[in-house]
Amino acid sequence: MNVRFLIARTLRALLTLILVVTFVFVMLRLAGDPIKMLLPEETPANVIEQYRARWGLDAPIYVQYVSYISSVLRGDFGTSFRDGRPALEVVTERIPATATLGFAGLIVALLVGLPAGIAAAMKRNSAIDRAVISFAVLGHSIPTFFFGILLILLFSMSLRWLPSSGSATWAHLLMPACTIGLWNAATIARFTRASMLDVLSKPFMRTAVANGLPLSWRILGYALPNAAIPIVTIIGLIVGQLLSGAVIVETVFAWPGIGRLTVTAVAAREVAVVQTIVFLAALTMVAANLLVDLLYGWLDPRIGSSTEGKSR
Amino acid sequence: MSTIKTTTFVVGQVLREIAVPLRVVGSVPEKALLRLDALSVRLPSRHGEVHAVRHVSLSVNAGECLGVVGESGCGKSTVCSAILSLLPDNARIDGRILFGGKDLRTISSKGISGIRGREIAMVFQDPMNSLNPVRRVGAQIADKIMVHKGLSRGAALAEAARFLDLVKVPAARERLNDYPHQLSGGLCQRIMIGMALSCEPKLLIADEPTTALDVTIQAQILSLLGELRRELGMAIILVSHDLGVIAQTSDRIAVMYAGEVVEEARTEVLLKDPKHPYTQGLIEASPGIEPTVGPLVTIPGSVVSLLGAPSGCAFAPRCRRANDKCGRMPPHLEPTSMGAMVACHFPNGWTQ
Repeated sequence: MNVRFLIARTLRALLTLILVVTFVFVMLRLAGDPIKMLLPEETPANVIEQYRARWGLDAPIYVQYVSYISSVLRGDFGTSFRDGRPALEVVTERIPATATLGFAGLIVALLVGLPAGIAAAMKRNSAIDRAVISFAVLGHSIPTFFFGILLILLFSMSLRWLPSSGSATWAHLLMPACTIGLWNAATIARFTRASMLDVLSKPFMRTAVANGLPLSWRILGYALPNAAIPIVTIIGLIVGQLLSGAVIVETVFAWPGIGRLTVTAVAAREVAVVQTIVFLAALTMVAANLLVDLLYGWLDPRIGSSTEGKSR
Repeated sequence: MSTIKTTTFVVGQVLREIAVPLRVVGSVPEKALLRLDALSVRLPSRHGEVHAVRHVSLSVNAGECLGVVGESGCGKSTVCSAILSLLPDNARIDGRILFGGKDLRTISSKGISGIRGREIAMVFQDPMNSLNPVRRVGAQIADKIMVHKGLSRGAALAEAARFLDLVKVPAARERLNDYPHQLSGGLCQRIMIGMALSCEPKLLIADEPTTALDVTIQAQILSLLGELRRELGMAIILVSHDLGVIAQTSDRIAVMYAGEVVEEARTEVLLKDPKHPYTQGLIEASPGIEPTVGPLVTIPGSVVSLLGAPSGCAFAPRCRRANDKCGRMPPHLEPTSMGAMVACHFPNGWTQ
């Protein structure tokens, strides 16, 4: 992988972030006058003007944009109305809970999705293949809140094996992690199957057979690295959504993470907090995709070396 | 009647062969390294079962080069794939594939893995796509050496460099670190050949090894194969649609048409005195062998469908000499005076 490729991708990620910040800024202005939303309707005009001046909203739009960008760059995302703490702090203290859940969910998704997809591709049109396809369709058709409630009904209400809500112990993690994990496993299994099928029919896989390489070596050392790009892409999207995508699951299982915070912050019109969450969610997505882009160059030497040309 | 004619020239035998105008010199099946015995392959397709290979019997002796020639779709690549059990699981295979006395069709999957790459190696048509694009070529060769010789990766890489030297890859040691996309087609094919040779196989199957390459590179690869064969004493099955390519390197040539061997003879005999009208057509249509003036000669018509069995000779619809007997009765391979075999009711020089 060459340096130019790395720099180009990093710059593109930064550009994406600037666009996101700008988009949030524009959306907030389009959504209406924040002062009017904040103050009671009968507020006298001079008080409104005072507030406007105080929050810098009387300045021209580009001045507001520059000051907004500069405060974001300084890490200042405004303060929460409810307890007066910086919004960033309110959000970041929830990150560990969401990250734990998201990571556990990802592990489940990979442990189930990858082997299922590989097995389905290797035994195309067999019972295993059909079972995996059915699982993938089913996994996508059942909404997560419904699946979560099913799990609660079975394991908490009927069997009384697992706690239904909260985050005190590892046992609390199990059901929400499986809810997120199995849904994502369905996606990963589908992409893995399709990508592996494509690779298994390639001439170099026949070469590997003709060379007498054992099956495990051929699958793990030859087929999977070639099938990796679409799989890594979809995993990148899943990781990018982990911070923001857990809203429903966290609500169902009363998991004290960012998803729950999003729901309460929206309900309480905590503009600064919501804005911070949107920014962090975008940051995660951009970072995950940057990582995926960099992984491409590592996974496939043909990507990112196009400027080198043929060495001979 | 077996199809085997020994090609090893013992001094006394040479004299005898000159004295007795090339009779069949006693078939010695034990000498054959590989013997295909009435091999048939049926492949299911959307339109029905394709009988891709029909009762093919061929043999290759140790150190010998057998050329297999025929137009696209005549079953020559299917024969190659069948030898190493590379056909899809749903292929129906009949007949025997005897290698060193063992039938490769009945051998265990572990047994065939030990033969693939180690005893019988294969070089494929499309070198650029036959190498793993995301793995360094050195590592790919080393993988194979590690599996078959149990060497460490370091030792296997050193072996890999040695074999790339052997196939005349320039700066072999540096090339180990290249990816296939960084190399030219000719270099990739050299690497494929180096990889095939890396475990010192007894038999090399080269399936259209030069088809995807430029003509100049083609000649280099062919002469390389010839040199390596003399140096290492291995047998080669060289498959091509190009009779010129086959004629350059092979001791013996088998001509395939519509899944069958229609003629088999020593190279010089086949080129000088082809018996089968299809072989004749192939030779006439090869611009490289005899200089032609005027338009290129072609064989009229196209290959018959391999769905279902033809009632008579498969070549009859395109044949100048065909009559109603050819449409009714399929001809069988039979020996001719020159120690060749031909499957034709009316071979060249045939008299009532």
